[in-house]
This record gives sequence, C-alpha cells and structure tokens, in this order.
Amino acid sequence: MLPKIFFLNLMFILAGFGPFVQSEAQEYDLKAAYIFNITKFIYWDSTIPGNEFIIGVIDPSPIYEPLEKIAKTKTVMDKKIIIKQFTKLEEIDNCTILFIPKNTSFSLKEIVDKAKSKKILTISEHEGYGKKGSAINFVTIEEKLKFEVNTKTLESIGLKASAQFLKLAVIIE
Amino acid sequence: MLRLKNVTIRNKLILIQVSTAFIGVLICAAFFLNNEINIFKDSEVRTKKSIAEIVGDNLIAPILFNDQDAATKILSKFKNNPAILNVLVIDKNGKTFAGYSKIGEEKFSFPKEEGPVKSKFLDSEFIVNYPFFLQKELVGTLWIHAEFADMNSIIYHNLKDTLIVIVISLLAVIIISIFLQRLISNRLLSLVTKTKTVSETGNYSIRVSAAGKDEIGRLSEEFNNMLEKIEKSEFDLKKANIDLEKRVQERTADLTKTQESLQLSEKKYREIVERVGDVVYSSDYKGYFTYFNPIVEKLTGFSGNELIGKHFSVIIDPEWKDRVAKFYQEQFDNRISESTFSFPILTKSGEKKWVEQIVTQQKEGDRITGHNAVVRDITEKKKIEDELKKSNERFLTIFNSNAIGMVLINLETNKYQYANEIFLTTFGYTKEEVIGKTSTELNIIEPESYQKVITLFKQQGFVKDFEAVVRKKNGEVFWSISSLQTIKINGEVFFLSSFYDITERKKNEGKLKEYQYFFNNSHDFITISNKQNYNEIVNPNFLKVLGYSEKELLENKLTDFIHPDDVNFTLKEIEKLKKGVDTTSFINRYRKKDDTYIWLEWNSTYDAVTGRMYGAARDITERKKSEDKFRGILESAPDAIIIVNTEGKIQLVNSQTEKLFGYKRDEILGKEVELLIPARFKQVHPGHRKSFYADPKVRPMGLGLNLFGQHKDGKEIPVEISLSPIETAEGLLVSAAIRDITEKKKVDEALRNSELFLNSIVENIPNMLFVKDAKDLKFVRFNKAGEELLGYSKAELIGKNDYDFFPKNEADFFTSKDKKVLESKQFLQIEEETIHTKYKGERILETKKIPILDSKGKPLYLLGISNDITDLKKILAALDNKTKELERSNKELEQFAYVASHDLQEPLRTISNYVDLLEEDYSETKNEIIKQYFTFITSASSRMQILIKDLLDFSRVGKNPVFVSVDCNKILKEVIAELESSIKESKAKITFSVLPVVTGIEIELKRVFQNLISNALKFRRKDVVPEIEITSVETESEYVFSIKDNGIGIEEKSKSKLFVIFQRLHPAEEYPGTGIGLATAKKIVDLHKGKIWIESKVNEGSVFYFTIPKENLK
Repeated sequence: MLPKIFFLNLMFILAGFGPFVQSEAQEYDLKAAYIFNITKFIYWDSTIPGNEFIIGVIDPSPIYEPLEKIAKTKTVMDKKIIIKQFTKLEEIDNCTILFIPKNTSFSLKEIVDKAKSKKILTISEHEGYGKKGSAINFVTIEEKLKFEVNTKTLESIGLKASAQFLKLAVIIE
Repeated sequence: MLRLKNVTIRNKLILIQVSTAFIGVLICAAFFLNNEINIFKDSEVRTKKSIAEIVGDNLIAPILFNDQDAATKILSKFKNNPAILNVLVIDKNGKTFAGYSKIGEEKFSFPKEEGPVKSKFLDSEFIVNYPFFLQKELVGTLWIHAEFADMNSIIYHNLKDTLIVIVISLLAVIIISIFLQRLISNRLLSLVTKTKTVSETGNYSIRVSAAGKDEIGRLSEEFNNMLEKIEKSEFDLKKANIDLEKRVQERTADLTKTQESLQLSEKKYREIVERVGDVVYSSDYKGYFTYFNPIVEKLTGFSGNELIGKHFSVIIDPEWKDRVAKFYQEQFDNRISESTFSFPILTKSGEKKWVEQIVTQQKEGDRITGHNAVVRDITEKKKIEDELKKSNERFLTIFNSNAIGMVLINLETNKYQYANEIFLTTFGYTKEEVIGKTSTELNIIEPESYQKVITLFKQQGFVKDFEAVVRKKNGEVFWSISSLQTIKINGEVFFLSSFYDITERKKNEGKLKEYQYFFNNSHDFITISNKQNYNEIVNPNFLKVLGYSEKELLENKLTDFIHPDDVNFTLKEIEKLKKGVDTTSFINRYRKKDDTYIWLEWNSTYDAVTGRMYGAARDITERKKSEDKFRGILESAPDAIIIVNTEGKIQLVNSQTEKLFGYKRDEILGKEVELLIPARFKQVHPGHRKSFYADPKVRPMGLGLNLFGQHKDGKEIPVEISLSPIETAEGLLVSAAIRDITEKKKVDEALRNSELFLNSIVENIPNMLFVKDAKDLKFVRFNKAGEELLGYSKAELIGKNDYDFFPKNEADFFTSKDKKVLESKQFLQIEEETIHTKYKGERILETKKIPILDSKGKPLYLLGISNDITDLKKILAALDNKTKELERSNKELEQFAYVASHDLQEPLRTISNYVDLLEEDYSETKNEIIKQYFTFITSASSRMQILIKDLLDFSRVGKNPVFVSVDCNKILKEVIAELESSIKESKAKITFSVLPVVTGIEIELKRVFQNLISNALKFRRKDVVPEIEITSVETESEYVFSIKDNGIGIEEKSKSKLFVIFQRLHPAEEYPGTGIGLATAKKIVDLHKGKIWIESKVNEGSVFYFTIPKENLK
C-alpha cells in the first residue's frame, strides 16, 4: 500500500504543472493557430498576386506540421495557404509571412532586412527579437503566450494591424 | 330592456355615444400602455443587443489570442450599466471564456435561447445573445442577462394619464351628442314630408333642400336625382317622336332621288355593257337571242342583227351542241340562277373558238323570263390550258418513268397523293400502302431530318440536294439525296418530293476521304502532272520536304526542279510511259528550295486518255548516301566482291572484280557466277552453291581450300574466297570476297624456301642451337648439332625443359641465366658451363643466350647457341703448359745468354788487350798482311765487344725493373748529348717537342731513345742531311712517341723482321750494327706494356712509334 500522502503529492504535482508545462507540440499548435489568427488582423495588401498565401518557415521548426494542418482547411483572403520550408535566404522571396524559429541558423538582421525589402511579415519566437526588428515576436509572459509587435517594422513593410490586435500586443516602437 | 325601449331616440343616442366613447377611450388607453411597454422593452432589448454587438466584436481578438484578462477587462465596463445583470462569453467550442456579474447578483445560468425570463409577474428580465464572427467564422457568443429598469414607473404614469383623458372625453361626448342628435332628426322629418307631396301630386319638379354631405344629405340628394331623371326621360320621349317624323320625310325624298339615279345608272350600265371586251347578250327563256352588244361581231363574225332572233345553239360547235343543250336544260330545270360553262363555237368563217359563258336567269317571281349572258373568248386560255394539260401529262409520264423515286404530297394534309414506281420499288411499298399516308406515318425519314427539311423549305421555298438517311418498309436504311418543291399539276399544287439513293456515292465519298487522307498524310511524294509536264496536284509532304509553296511548284515546269544531269533520262522515262509502258521506276534528283538536292525514287504511271502522269516518289537521299557509302566501301575493299542471288546470278560486283577477272561490270552482272569458275569446276559448283544456300553460314577465308577463278582470257587464278549470307528485302544474297592469292602463293613459296634455307643452316651449323619458349622455357627448337651433343633426339627434347634432362644444379643454372636474359632482354655470353650429356658425359659449353622479342618488345623466345669447348679447353690447357715451359726455357736461355755474354767479355777483353799489345809490338812492321790481320782482329774483337755489350744489354732488360717517374725531356737531352759526335759528323738536324713525364724504368727508356735516334742517324741517305723529329702525343690511356727521320726507309716486306734479334736488313759493311738494338727497344717497350711499330717508305724516311701506358706498374 502506498501511503496516502504519495497520491496527494502526485495530484499536487499534476495539478500544479498541468496548465503551465505545455508540451512542445501544444506550444506550436498554439503558435500556428496564432499565426493564422494574426493573418485575420492584418490589413493585407489586397493586390498580393496569385492564388496562394505563402507562409514560409526558414530552418526546420516544429511549427511546420501544425501550420500544414491549418493550411489544409483554411484560407486567407480566399487564397490557398501554402506552407513552405526554406533552407536558404534567397528562397523566401515569394512568401507573405516568414516564421523565424528560435534556433534559426541565419542572422536575424539578415532575415529581417531581406524580409523588409520583400515586404514579408516576419514572425519570430525569441526573446528580444521584437526589438531587433522582427515584425511580430512571440513571447511568454506569466506563462502565457503573448506577442510583441514592432510597429516600425510593420510600417516599413507597409502593413497595418487592427487596433483590436494591437491592443493585445506588447507594442515595440 | 323595456325601459330602454321607451327612452327617446335622442337619449338613446346620447347613452350609446357616451358608453361607446368610454369603452373606446379605455381600450385606447390600454392599447397605448401596452404599446408603450412593448416599445420600451424593444428599445431596451435593442440597446442591449447593440451593446452586445459592440462588446462582442471587441472580444474577437482576445478570444483568438486566448487573452482572458483582456476579455475580463472589457466585460468589467458593464458595471456602469446597472440594468445588465450577467454577461457570459462563450467561445466557438461552447466553452466559457469570460464572464461578468453585477455586484450582488446571483450567478445566473443562461438558458439556451434568448428571450424574456419568465419568472416574475411581468417580464422584467431578458436575455440577448450575439454570436460574433471574424471573416465569416464563428469566434464566440456573448450572452447578456439584463432587466427592464424603470418599467413600473412608466406604467404608473400611464394609468394616471389615462384616467384624466377618460373623464374629459366623456364630458365632451355628452355635450356633442345632445347637439348632434337634433341635426339628424330634423332633416329626416323634412325628407319624409317631401316624399309624400311628390307621390300625391306627381310633380316631379319638387326638390328636397339638401344640406350636408352625411348619409341624410346623400339620401336627399339621391331623391332629388331620381326626380330629375324622371323629369328628363319624359322630355326625351317627346323629342324622339318629333325626330322620327322628320326622318320619314327625309327618307321618302332620298328614295325618289335614288330612283332617279337608278334610271341614270341603267343607262350608264347599258353603255358599259356595249363597250366591254366581252360579248353580252340577252335571250328569251327559250334561248333565242334578243340582244347583243357590238362585241359579238368581233367574236363570231356575225353582226348582232344577224343573230337576234336565232337560237343560241346556231353558233355552237356541232360536236358540243348536245352537251351544251343538256347543260343549260339542267340549269333551266333546276332554276340555277347563274352558271358558267365553256364550250367551242363556230364563227361565221367556220373557225373554232372557245368561249366561256356566264348566264344569269331573268326571273319574274318563279318564272324564268329570259337569260342575260356574258361570253368571253377563252380560245387562248384554252390553248394554254391544253398545253398545261399536256405538260402535266408529260410530267406524269416523267414522274412515273423517272429513275428517281418521287412522290406528290398534298399541300395541306401532307399526305402522299402519288408515288412513282421507282419510289415504290425503292422503298418496298405498294401504291395502296403509301397513298393517303404522310412521311411521318410511313417513318420514311427521321423526325430531325424531316424537321430540317421543313425548316429549309420555309426559309427558301424549296429544298434541294438534302442528304438524309431514309428508311425502307423493311426497316433497311440508305442514304438518299432528297428534294422538296411545290409543283402545279392540272391547276393543283402539290409538294414534289424526290428520293435518290446515294448509298453508293456515300460509300465512294468515304473512300475518297480515305484516299484524301492517304494523299495528305503520305510520307511519299505524290504528284499528278499534265501533258505539258506541269505538276497539277502535289501532296503536302512533297511541298514540305522540298520547301516550295504549292504555287511555285505548280507554275513551273517539273523539269525545272530536276537536277540538270537527270532531266534527260527523266524525260526519256516519261516518253516510255507515253509509248505504253505501264509503269516506270527511276531515280532522279530534285532541287529543294534551299538549292540542295534530294534523291527521289519514282514510280510513275500514265493515263493515255487524260495525258496525265501519276507519280509517287520516296526520298531516298539517306539510302542513296548509305548506298554510296556502301559502294565506296565495296569499291575500296581490297578483295573482289561479288554478290550473288539464290539463282547464282551476279547482282553486284566491285571494281576489284573487274580487275581480277578481266570482265567489265556489264559483262558479268546478271550472269551466272559459274562464268568466273574454271571449266573443270563448272559442273559441281551449282551443287555447292545450293548447299550453301540451304545452310547459309559465314565461311571465312584461308580454310586451305584450293580454289581457282578463271580470268576472261582463260587463265586460272588461285583464290581464297570468303562467303557471307546477306538477308535482304529481295531475298537471301551471298556476298563473296575473292582474293587473288597468286602473289601470296609466291610469297609463301619464297618463305618456304627461306625457311628451308635457314633450317639447313640451323641444322648444319656445328654449334648446338636451341630455342626455348619465353613463357615456360620449354624447348621449341633444336638443331642436329644439339641432338648429337646432348644425345637426345629432337622429338625427346621439344616441349620439355632443362629439368627433364639435366641434374638439378645444372638446370637451375641454365634456367636462372635464361630468366636473366629474358628479363633484361639482353644478350648474355656464358663463357663456361658444364652440362651432362647422355653419352658424352660432362661437357663444357660456351653459350650465347639471345632474347627474341616480338614487335612490341616482349620476349617471345630464347635463342641459345652453345659451343662445345671441352676439347678446346683441353688444348688450351696443354698450350698453357707449353707456354709456361717455353717461358721457363726462354728465361733459362736469357740467363744463359746473359751469363754467356757476361763471361765472354772477360776472354774477349783479354784477347783485345793482347792484340793491342801485339799491335804495339808490330807497329813498325811493314808487313801489310800482318797489319791487315791486326785490323781484322781489332775490328772483329771490337765488334765482338759491341755485340756482347748489346747482347748483355738486351738480356739485362727487365732484370731490375724499378718504375719511377721519368722526365722524357731530360733523358732525350742526355741522349742527344751522348750522340753529339755522330750528330755533328752527320750534320743532322734534331728537333723535338716537349715530352711528357712517364712512369717507367729510366735507363731502359733512355736506351729506347738512344737506339731509335742512333738508328735514324745510321740509316741516313747519302747526300741528304738527316732531319730527326721527336714528338709525343697524349691519348687517353697512353703516350705515343714518334721518332721521324728522312732516311732510307724500309721495304714493307721487311717490317716483320725489323724487331727480331740478330736480324739485319743491310750488310754490315754499309750500315754496321749488331741487329740487337731494335730488338732491345722492343723488349723494353714490351716491358712497359707498350707497343712499338714503324711506318716507312723507302727513300723517304721512317717513323718509329712506341707507346708508354699512363698507368704503369710501379
């Protein structure tokens, strides 16, 4: 017989950790959902050519699969969502959103500069990347997934976000 | 109730009006209150709904980004709105996302639908929800639970107001109704009174004073209207009577006038009748003419007066009289008032004319009084009608006898009226089956086609050449070309529809299409050209390949496109066709647009009737090229090549064949191959040939068959033949390559001879000669000497190696040397090797081993040549012994000479001394003989002395050999100094160059110089001043000294004796000497391992050379 205190401890541990310790998969499911939701709050240039809305992921990231899953059922501006995995900076030209994983092998500056020149909305997930010029940066505040929005970057790529969205964001000017 | 009946109308009205007003106001008030409440509720609900909408939209982002804090913050704003009790935000999955409750309010559980909450007396609470969407996708739903605040106070205020309104309005109603009831009752009374007056007096001009527009007013008005209408209709009646009378009078006047004009018109009519083109006449009821208009004369030739009173039948064609009479009798009997009838009449001149007569009966009551008739000349019309009839008959004939199936169809009913034989046989119907039926009923034509025909007919009034599938009675269908048109026959209009079976044509059209397809898509070139040699039709591929436009190709003569070299024979081929050859095949070149030519292989035929030529050609440029290539190869082949077919006929030969057999190509092509075979084989060859064809296999050359060909001049040629079968489209062919082997035979012979020659040398050479294979060192060749030496036969040796015959150590030795030779690829001389032979025991060989390499330098064989030196060895050993013996005896001899000469000196010196003494004693003597004796003795002894000294010197050479550095210049100077007296005496000129320092024995070398120089001085020519030149030349290994004089020289034959001791070439009297000097010089030079020799010419001088090696023993 295990002592009762053991179960109590176990319950405590489970209860205590459950909500906070998310698995990586859950985290990226959420991020992917957020990225899709973000697309709804950005006033896209309606003249984006083609029938595809391309979300690029530079360097491998666990976000790829959940994004793919979303792409199968959803659309942005009635365009088909296409998820592309990039390994070279030159390949990002045609995407509209570029997700920059934490552990990207590229220098953020290079990515951001290139993205700015191509009017690509960058979404990163690294503490401080918002300040460094990533348009949107996922951060965890009080164990909750939040995002920073670099309004300058947003402005420089010619995009506007809805006020509702900006209200929820940590604004970096 | 009864009490109420007795109440006056006036009071009744008041009561009714007051109670009605009260109820009305009460209902109104209730209605308004209810309305007020509803409006209030609606507005409240709407307000909350719009609040929900505003808040809901603001919640989209928080829900999507899961920001409950933000949501809660937004919801907290509701505290400013106390009517809102509870708020709930539910996400799209139905989960609560955020909520709000008014402070102090219980947690509210929201129902599933919006609406009022039915828990209290009045619906004072309600729920609204607002589902909010983002881009048409549900994000969440906002529920609001609120109360209708202030509703009770609204109700209270409304009730108060309603009460006041009721009181005031009731008072007003009472006052107004008292006034109004009077207004109504007074006027009603007046109306009743007036009505009575009118009915009693009948005066319709009385009027009721009509005031107001209410019902009573309208009643009065209607009453007045009624009176007015009655009054008016009475007046109208009177007026109508007056009018009627007036119109009767007018009508009577009109009638009179009409009668007058009628009379006038009759007059006019008569005039018209007399002037019209038609004959107009009247007759009495029996048919006797009573009137004619003047036209009658024109028609009949009779004047009116001539005919009047005659019966109408007089002018009728007698043949028709009965018929006409009968017709009119009928008309008469049946009282038919008007009739038309045509019949012929005879004119005054007897001419027959056709007339049409319209007769009208004149009647008085029922009695016929006479006839009026109009007669028209219809002769022309009749003729036309006859023509028409005839033509109709002709049509019918045609119709019936036509090869085309035809039917006549009724215009209205579409039913078949007539069908001709062809139609019936074609479709398999009998006349009865089709007549009265329509096409549709007979199912002759498909409904769609039928519709098409109808449409076409409506568009253009006829249908022509309409192709359709039609169906026979038995269901069989066929392609028909049909037409539909209207046709008038005997004045009747029909549809004429024709059917013509074009199944065959259709089939042909299909074929034609196939032909066309073939023509257009053929990769061959197809042309049709005319008599003038112009192309008329060319197929697309022809244009495509040549690159011309169709115009270019058709507008130029076809010869313009042919290669100039090919034009003539092409035209010849065309001529052949025109002369009646069925087809011709030839090859020519066509120029393409880009001025290159292609080779075309033509097959052409000719149509003598049209003069057209039909040509099909194929581009064989590639084939031609490969043929040329093949021909080139064939021609350049070194062998004669003949290609023969299964019948043995020669198909193709190359120029080598012409050369080899002496025939021209034309002479042998198509001939039997046996032509080229010598007569003695001609019988058997066809058999060989057949068996080869039965089992064709490549047969290479050089099978050793003795084959012969026969030249045109009959000479036989030895040949080698290779055969190979060739499968071709024309069947199996055999290519024979024939090589003249006359030369080869000669070469073989020469080779054989040279082999024989070499073999005999090899075999007869006294040395053992063997050849081993480089691979395994086995013997491949052995000569006779070898067999004899080793005691084994060739047969035993060949294919074996050393180990099979010789002891292992010997075999090892041989083999190792063999390998060395083969590896180094260099000749090796083995001075000595022992070998055990079969019979001769151990032999010693001197062997040369030579590698034999192939053209690439790889060792093929090892050639060995061995000399049996066993005997030589023995001899040499013996010789060696002899030499040694000789040397020893020489030494002993030298020793003896030395000792002898040394010992001889003593007695000689004694003799010489005593002779000197004797001479002194006899110096006074006059005895010449004695003196002479003394001279002889002295000279002999001095000669003896010199001889002994020289001999001693000679034998002393080498006695004490001490090699040191010798400066030749020094010893030469000493020699010259010592010889000074003889030099002076002879006045000799001595020159010398700088001489080297050599290693040698100084005193001996000095003696060599001394001997040679004194020799030169001694053998001088008389009267010639001796000139002596001493020089030296340094070579690699030695110094060559030369002593040149200009003395007497020496004959060639004497040279060999020169250096031999005691050899004198000249008498001592002339040139005194011992004959030892040069021998001594030679001995010294030998001692120094040098050489000494002379070059000389008699009477010119000699040069003595000697050499001293640089490296000398020390």
